[in-house]
Amino acid sequence: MVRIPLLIGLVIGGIAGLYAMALTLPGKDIFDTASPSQLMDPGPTAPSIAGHMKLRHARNRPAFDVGVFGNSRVLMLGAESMGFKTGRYFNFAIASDSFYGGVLAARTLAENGKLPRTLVFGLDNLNLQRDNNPSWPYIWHRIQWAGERIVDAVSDPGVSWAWLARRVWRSVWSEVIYFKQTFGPTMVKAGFLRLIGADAALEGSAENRNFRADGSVFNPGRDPNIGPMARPSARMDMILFLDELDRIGRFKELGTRVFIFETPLYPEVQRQLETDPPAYVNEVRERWHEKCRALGFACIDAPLIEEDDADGRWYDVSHAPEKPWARFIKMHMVRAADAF
Amino acid sequence: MLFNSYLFLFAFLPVVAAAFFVVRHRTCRLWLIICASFLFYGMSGVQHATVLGLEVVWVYLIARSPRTVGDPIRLTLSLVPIFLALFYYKYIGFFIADVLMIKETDTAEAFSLFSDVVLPAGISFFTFQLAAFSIDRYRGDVDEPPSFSGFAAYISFFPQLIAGPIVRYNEIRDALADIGSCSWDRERLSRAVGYISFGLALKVLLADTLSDASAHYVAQPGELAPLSALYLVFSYSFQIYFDFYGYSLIAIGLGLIFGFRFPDNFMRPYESLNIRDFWRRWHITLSYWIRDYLYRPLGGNQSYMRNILIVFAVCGLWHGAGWTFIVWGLYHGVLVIMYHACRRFWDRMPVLLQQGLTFTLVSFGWVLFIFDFDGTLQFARALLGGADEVTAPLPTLEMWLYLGISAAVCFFPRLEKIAENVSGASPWLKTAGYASLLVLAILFLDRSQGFIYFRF
Repeated sequence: MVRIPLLIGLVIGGIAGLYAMALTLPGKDIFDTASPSQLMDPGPTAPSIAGHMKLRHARNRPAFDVGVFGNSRVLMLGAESMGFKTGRYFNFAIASDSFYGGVLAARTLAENGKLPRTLVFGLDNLNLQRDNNPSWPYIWHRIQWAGERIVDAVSDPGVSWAWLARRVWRSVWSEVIYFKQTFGPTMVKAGFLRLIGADAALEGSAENRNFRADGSVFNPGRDPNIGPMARPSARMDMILFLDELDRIGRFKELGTRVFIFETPLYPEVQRQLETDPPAYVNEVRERWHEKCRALGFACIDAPLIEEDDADGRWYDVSHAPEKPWARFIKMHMVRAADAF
Repeated sequence: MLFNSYLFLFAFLPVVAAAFFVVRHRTCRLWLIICASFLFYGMSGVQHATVLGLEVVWVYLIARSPRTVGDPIRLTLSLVPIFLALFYYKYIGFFIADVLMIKETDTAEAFSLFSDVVLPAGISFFTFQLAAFSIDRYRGDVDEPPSFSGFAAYISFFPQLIAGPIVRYNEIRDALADIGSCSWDRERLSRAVGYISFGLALKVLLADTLSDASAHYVAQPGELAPLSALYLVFSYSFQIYFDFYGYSLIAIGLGLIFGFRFPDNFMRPYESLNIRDFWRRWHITLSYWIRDYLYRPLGGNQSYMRNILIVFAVCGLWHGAGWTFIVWGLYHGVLVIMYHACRRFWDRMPVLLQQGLTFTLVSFGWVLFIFDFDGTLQFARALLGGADEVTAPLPTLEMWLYLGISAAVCFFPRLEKIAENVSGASPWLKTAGYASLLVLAILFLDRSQGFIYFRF
């Protein structure tokens, strides 16, 4: 007769074991390349792996001067286009991560004494906003940090039971999505190869989205379907967003400078969405700038970046060409700070 | 909702099963099953769940009366709406476009009423189950009608709602009556775990792997080398078997959790000695339904050829609204008649030859499930080496390996026996084996596809 409790234990243990295997980091630091322009392809990687590879890289060297945090909308910003030396600048952004994911990456660096002196955060265009949970931390940290936030938020008078229920549901649902992203034959096989040291980080090519030594990702090609889009219905959670800004504010006490850039959209789309934006977008923008002023951050609205063959093409509707986007950021940093 | 989804395996099933064992009152358990089943079905569309609900209420209202027994008018009243619904949802598009040959452009306005009809999953299954109940009641085979909750639970019970087995009321009457006393029986649950593990593994690890491996062949039937075409024939044959057999095993296992023993739907069909034998082993509950409610009322063996062709054409049409399905049914009908005509010769052949020929004939028949007529003709030409241009690569070693494993699983282990034999083999070994199958199946779950028979 089958031992049901044992069977359930074995199934859960087996899934947990394979899941952990999928999260094995490569033995080699792929950002430690001989040439800054060398592209590296670590193979199939879950957000956790990309995030922890970057944090490990940072832990093993002096703190960077400049760190970029956010998701794929700032991930293309490389040291060269930003005008920094590779060894002093690092892009900590993780594809499909949330704004809070960037805050947590900075917090982890701070806990290790490796927080860059200048923090550049990418904030998804306010017309697109949605509040995903951070994707790069390991599941136990995600649960711990999501719990912390909910506990902190309970003291906020604006919090209702409906809000709490939504947050808990959102956290559970995010976990399901991350589990599906990480737990699969491709990821487990890649993890197994990394575990036995048979992965050997491969040299990447300019045909694919591969990492540079500065943590950024080279974006080749262009989405052929780039064009108008409907206004997304998802909204940012104001309570959490303000809390995230407060958390960034704590880094100021460590002597850091903070820049937050709203990410641009394909010009045609940005014009379309910014024509008579809903009250909600205006309200978030207003509260954001208000908070930035109070905390002493430089917060900059999304620029309009026109498409230009010489400067590179848009990758898709929300991923700007690297050069003009980096130029815009650098210009504001130079204007706002004399630290470089 | 699909059995092979995270939502079902990690949320729906554990919650419903836990609630079932917590609630002990019979009526509460029946209503729990009804609510869970409608939630399960309603996930694919509230409209479809409404159709199911209306049909259940309609048939019950008519069939519960004692006057239904022997009353052809009440029987007709019961059957007509449910078959009209089946016709509307499943066959209207086919009837307008392929039978009446009305083009969408001819009567755009009239056609628009029907062009957006979405087929409710498993409508053929629950319609046949409702029809079986109505006819059994008319014949007096169901002497005492169940309570409404018992009837609704019987029809909508989620393990068998979408793709069978097509269960007769009398087969689960006792289980429905005793549902209040169904307890946490380790032996029964051991069997359930066995069926579910095997079923999920067959579907996710074999059927879906075969489907992925031959997907590029399905996409270009006219550009295959003969060897690739032959590969597709046998690959699809195993795929559809493991897909449906896997579903049936999961359904049986789920039924066992709640105290129901569903009839077997498969009995090693690819080991059949002839085509008639095949239909006693493949989708057994459908074969018996057709035999009892169509073939025999038509006169059975009295007009053998005519009736065989009719029931197989209907069997084909049951599978799908299209001429290819009717031709597939007729193909099987003709094979049965041919076997009947030359059975003395056939039965004297070596057993392995009989099995091999039957398997091959059945496998070639499935081609009509994959392609439309154009595709079938292109495929047939490619199979005979007449492809204009061969662009699809030959099957790789890996693909042959999948086929070899599939054949081994199909012809060697007796899965039902292993699942049923709760006292044999070391319990630790069995537990570890089932756990490994489940973990592996869950690992590949995300790329798993819907069950083929859900379309029917």
